[in-house]
Amino acid sequence: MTDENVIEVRNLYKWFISKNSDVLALESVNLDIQEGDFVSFVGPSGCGKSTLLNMIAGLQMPTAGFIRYKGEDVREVNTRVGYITQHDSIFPWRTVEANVQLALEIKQVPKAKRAETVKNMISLVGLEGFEKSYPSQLSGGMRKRVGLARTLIYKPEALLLDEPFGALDAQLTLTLQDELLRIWDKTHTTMIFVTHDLGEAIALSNKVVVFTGRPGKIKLTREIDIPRPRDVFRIRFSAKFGALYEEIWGSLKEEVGKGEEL
Amino acid sequence: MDNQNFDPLDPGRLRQEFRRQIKFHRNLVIFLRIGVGISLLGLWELVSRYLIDPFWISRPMHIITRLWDWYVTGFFFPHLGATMLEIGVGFFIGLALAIMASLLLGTRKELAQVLDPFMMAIWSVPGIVLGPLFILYFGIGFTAKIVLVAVTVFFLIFFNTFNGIREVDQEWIDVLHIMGAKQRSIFIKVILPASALWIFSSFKNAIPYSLVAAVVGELIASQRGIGYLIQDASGVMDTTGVFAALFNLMLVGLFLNEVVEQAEKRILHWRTSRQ
Repeated sequence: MTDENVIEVRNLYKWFISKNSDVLALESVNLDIQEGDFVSFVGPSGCGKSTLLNMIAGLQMPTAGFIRYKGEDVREVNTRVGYITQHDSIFPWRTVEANVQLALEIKQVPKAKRAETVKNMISLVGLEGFEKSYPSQLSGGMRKRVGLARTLIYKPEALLLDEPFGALDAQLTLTLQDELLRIWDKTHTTMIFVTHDLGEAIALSNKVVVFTGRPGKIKLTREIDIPRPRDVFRIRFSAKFGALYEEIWGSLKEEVGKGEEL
Repeated sequence: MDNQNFDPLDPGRLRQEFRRQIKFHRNLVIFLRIGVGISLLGLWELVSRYLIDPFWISRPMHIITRLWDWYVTGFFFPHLGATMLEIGVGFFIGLALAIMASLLLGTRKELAQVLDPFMMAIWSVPGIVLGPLFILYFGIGFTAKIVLVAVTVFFLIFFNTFNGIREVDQEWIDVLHIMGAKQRSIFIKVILPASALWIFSSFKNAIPYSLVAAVVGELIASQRGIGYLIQDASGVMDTTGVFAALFNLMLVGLFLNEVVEQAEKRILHWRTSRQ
């Protein structure tokens, strides 16, 4: 881990203008994310945390202020990051294997060289034996793994995750969180993780950023100094986790519900 | 079922029983279908013998004799060939143009917005009414029918596919953008396969209409084809000839539907291969 900033967000504003209403989604956001860090955004729904993620990925543009990625303004789609959304958005017409190698096809890696990488990636996410299956034959958790492998395969410098485990049951979420941590321990890819689950944010991250209800502003940034490697299955029982949860929840709970009024 | 000698941990006998029931049900359906078919033909035969002059409704035995005659002498096959040629060539021209046009308009929102009222206006005119015009332009040969089939097929497939492309999930496209894909890869890797569903569902609609278009074209003016046979037979008040031609038309329709179904199974296998 170095102290170099991968992502710098400066005085960022985002307006959504539509026929009937103008909504200020983000207001005066300033944020630095370091190389190899694991940062979570938490906040009530509608606080603009996903919007911020979209802007870091270059899928949406800020109304004012700027985002710099490794010193360069993000003005178009940021192809140096990987993006995983809540909907797994893997392609139903491709087998697991073919989904995973998508990025290699786009980067025109020769066929002979793909096979090895694909195989490694599939085993990294624990999908051996399902290479030839179609997404319609997989469970929700397996589809998430495909999405993860599909993104990790091109070794993005940073991984943006937008409530990636949102629609899964509790046990499966824990298992996948565990795997994500394992992968992060191995690769130390910069992670930006959006979630509405504070427990998840604390268990996974080095830093939790709390957003206010709409318009989203950064309310609190808290280092999570729980030592690693962490065990996501037991971390919730530790005193340290409890104290941090208590502290951050105190700040978050005032905001929850604000977003709902709109 | 008697429960003596039944091992509760071995579903073998249950499975056997289950298979037997399925088989019985299937055979029953086939048997009843044949029964319904024969009864209808028998009724027709009786009605034409005792109630209505076969001059109006012909008679199954006459039709079967006629069909036999057509097939054995080979008289029918040039006509079948003509209709199939018009459908085949017309369909593929219409299909290719429809896919190109819908890809072009489906991915260029501004252009589609400008052209929208014109497309709706054209859509509201059934393509088939252009038949007489095409005969006027291209004569009574194959060309007019091919054009008519192509136009009919074009509009059916175009509108379906166009709407399909507009509804392709933006997230799928974003995923590829972030991977650094250019417009061309996005086309080939997302938009085409995602629209395959719509293209195929419109295929299924377009097939019977392509048959209709070819036959209507032939009815208007032609020298060959199944439509010509109908027209020719009815011109000399030969109802047997009309029904024999209609029967063949039915066979062609069934055949074409089967072709589409097989193609769909092959190409959209990812959708149907649920376990």
